[in-house]
Amino acid sequence: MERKPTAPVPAPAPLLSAGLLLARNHIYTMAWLDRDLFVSGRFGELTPQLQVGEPLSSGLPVLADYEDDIHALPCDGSTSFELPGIMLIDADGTPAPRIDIVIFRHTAVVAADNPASTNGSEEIHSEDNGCEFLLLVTRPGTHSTEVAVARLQRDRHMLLEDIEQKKLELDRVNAELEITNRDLEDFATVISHDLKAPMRALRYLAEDIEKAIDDDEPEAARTACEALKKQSRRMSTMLSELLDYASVGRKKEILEPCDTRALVEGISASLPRPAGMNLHIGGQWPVIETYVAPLDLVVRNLIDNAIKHHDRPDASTIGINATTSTDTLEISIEDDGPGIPATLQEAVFYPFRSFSRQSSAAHPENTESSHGMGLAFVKRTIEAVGGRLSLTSAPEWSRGSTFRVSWPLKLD
Amino acid sequence: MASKKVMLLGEIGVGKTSLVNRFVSGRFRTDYMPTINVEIYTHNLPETDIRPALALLIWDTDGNFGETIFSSVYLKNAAAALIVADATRPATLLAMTSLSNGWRAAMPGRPYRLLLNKSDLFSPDQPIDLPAGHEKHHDRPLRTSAKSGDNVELAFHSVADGIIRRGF
Repeated sequence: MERKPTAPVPAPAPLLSAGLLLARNHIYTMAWLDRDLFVSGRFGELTPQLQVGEPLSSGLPVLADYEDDIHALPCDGSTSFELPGIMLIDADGTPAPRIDIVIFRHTAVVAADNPASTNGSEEIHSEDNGCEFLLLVTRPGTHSTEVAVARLQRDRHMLLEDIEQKKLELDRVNAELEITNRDLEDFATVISHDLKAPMRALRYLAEDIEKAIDDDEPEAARTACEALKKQSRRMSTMLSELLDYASVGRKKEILEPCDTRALVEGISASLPRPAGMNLHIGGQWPVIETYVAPLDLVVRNLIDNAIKHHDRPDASTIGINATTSTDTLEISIEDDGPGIPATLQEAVFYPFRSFSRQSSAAHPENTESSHGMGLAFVKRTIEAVGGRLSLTSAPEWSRGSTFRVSWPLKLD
Repeated sequence: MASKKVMLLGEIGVGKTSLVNRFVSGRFRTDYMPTINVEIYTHNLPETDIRPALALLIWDTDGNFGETIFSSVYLKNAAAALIVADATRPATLLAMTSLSNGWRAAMPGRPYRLLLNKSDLFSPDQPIDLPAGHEKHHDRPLRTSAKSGDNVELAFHSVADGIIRRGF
């Protein structure tokens, strides 16, 4: 669509000569727009695509989405619509100069009696002495400076991001160090306290042997020797378990597909239990990619723990359930045994601690078959994969304990 | 031919300009020229079975805007957005999630697509960790590479289709 330009309005000579100089050097373009946003006049070469008689949106399509804002401008000569610092890139990727666009709406006041001439490309028109739009397109600043500043800003931003990333890494390493320090403290505690008892027993037995030899009692010496060998084996087993405990999480595991229902059913079938003890497996057990051996260790120890420590094994139920959340497999092992007092609920996860149903304290385990490492292994294994273990039990109110495992579904 | 305005949003240096250059000119530029304010590309899309021919006005924005872009004049009447992250930089993934939340609040109902650019640096089956909770609110991002051209056409065409499908 094309409109016939309205009559030219000459501009004042001094302004026009300066304006011509700048306009010819592509410093700016001024254009007059009618009420329908058609170009009625144009001055300057910065945006040659603006053509007299054409709609504004033909010459500057980027303004098509702003016509409502432009129409809404008050006719006061001071309120403006502005679209600063845009750069138009042509179809072959060549950028035009960066431009600022400003539009005012005002009543035309350009002196009509100024004889300053216009030439072919600089046409000035007015419209009906009413309100019209004045469009000014200019080139802002020095582009090369802007690019240099932008490059610096980008480099600074990337450096800050890198520092932040390094800080996160440092925090992670510090957290690992903290865990390692705690492990060392655990070890020190175990060695100084829990290994003292068998060491002491060894010393006493050696003294017994010595005395039996002095008293010429070979039978007593032989008995003490047997006891000494037994204590020695026990210490050896404890040290091996301690080493295994220390290595949890350090061994590189391999992700494998795991049918968790088959896994838990297999474990349940393999653990001996009294005839009256009922194991109930419920819930949803998905097939997941996970570290199978550690998961097996966790589930096996928790079920075994529930079986071994039940005080009424001939009429009991152990419930093993699972649900899946977004990020974790939630496993619960619930027994109807005597429960674990609140005062012991932290200690049962320490190495070489076992809770006796007849005792009110967790103590170093002394039985031949168990060394009180099961729950310690479970907790450490779960934490090594980034999971969580919790225990709920309130024997003063009701029987039973529930161990809940949050096993991450996404493992590296 | 109708023209539609598509915003390219994302942190500094994620490859927004490289993506639009790849789409418009089929080239990958190795010299880094930071975008200042806004650079506007025009690209005509031919008619397809599901939409008419369209002229896309692609507004490539300065990563420095961050979320202030949503209160700027540049966003006015945008029909769609491509929100880009650098798959190798976790901070830009967080920014992508924030920007997509901002887009949904500022331009409700308008289509957008999330892009994980520089995915040529990952093997196809290698997972890229997204910020926690991201997938609750947003579609899975499309892996793109301005360098290899992978999925670049698909990204722009899919937002064009989205614009027509949703009547913007």
